[in-house]
Amino acid sequence: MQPPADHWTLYGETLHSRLLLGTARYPSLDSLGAAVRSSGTDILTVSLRRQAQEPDGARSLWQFLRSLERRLLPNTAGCHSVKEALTLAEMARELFATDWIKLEVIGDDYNLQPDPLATVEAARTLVKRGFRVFPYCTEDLVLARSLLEAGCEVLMPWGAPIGTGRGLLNPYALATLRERLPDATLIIDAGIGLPSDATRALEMGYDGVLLNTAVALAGDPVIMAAAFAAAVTAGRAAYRAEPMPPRQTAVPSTPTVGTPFWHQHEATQSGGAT
Amino acid sequence: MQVSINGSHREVPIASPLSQLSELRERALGEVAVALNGNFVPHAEWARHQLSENDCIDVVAPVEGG
Repeated sequence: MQPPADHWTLYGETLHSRLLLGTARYPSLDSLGAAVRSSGTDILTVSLRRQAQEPDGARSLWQFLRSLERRLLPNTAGCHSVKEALTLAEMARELFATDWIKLEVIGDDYNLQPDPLATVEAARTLVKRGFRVFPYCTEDLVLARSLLEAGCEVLMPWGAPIGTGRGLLNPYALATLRERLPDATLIIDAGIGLPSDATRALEMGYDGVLLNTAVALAGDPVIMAAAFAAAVTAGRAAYRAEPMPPRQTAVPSTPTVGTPFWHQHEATQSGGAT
Repeated sequence: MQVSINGSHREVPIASPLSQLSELRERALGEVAVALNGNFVPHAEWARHQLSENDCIDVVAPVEGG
């Protein structure tokens, strides 16, 4: 039996897939296109960089991205200050004709950890300027609250540092975030390495996952994209089905009433003694 | 006078409009986006912005992203 439809919304836009996919690091555009179709994603992340010497290359990439007919979510990757992020967001809004922005303000180049203070400040300004902000953040609960108060309807905490594929490194904090912010839309943004990581995130009640490298650098990105699609579907279904609570001690699955040879062993032992 | 375009120095006529840079000439809305000295300049305002000595211009285009 098919479970009932499970659509969700991001800033008022109805979506079907809970898998958001990045578009970088694929072996080829053909590979990217095939992986996108295989994943069933509704949303692709994109970025902006200084124009290359060959403008036709950028133009063909842009045409290719548009041909995929997915909602585009531009990012501010590489920004290290509020001003840089604000300027790049404005440029993205004009270039991609969307007020959606994945806000990234990096605070440390070693692990690409977001700068929490700058992220909140930038988010507050962008919301005032009419942007729909998707902030890349850590799993810190107080930071998350500040971002919600700044006007963000969606938060994107990391599972692990970008591109590491180490999965959900701090499940306690991520579970706490989900528990304490039950009405916020939460998407695990970075660090997903395996489909089982994505399943776990959805099982925990996260609304979606965004990943890139785990698919792009797989030996077969198309098959891996399909694996992630299935993993996200499974995790979400498990969450909706309300998993059983874990127990400390064993409980037999098979009914014990009518168990054959019940107490026979003890009876045999006591009979032998008399 | 000298300006910087995407980090490279270039000689341009004094007070020439932003829209006359070769990178921006005949560029339609949505092909590239521009920042002048770190501030976004909307496509509709390219022709109104006159360049000054040592201006820094960033011209960006869509790329893949994560």
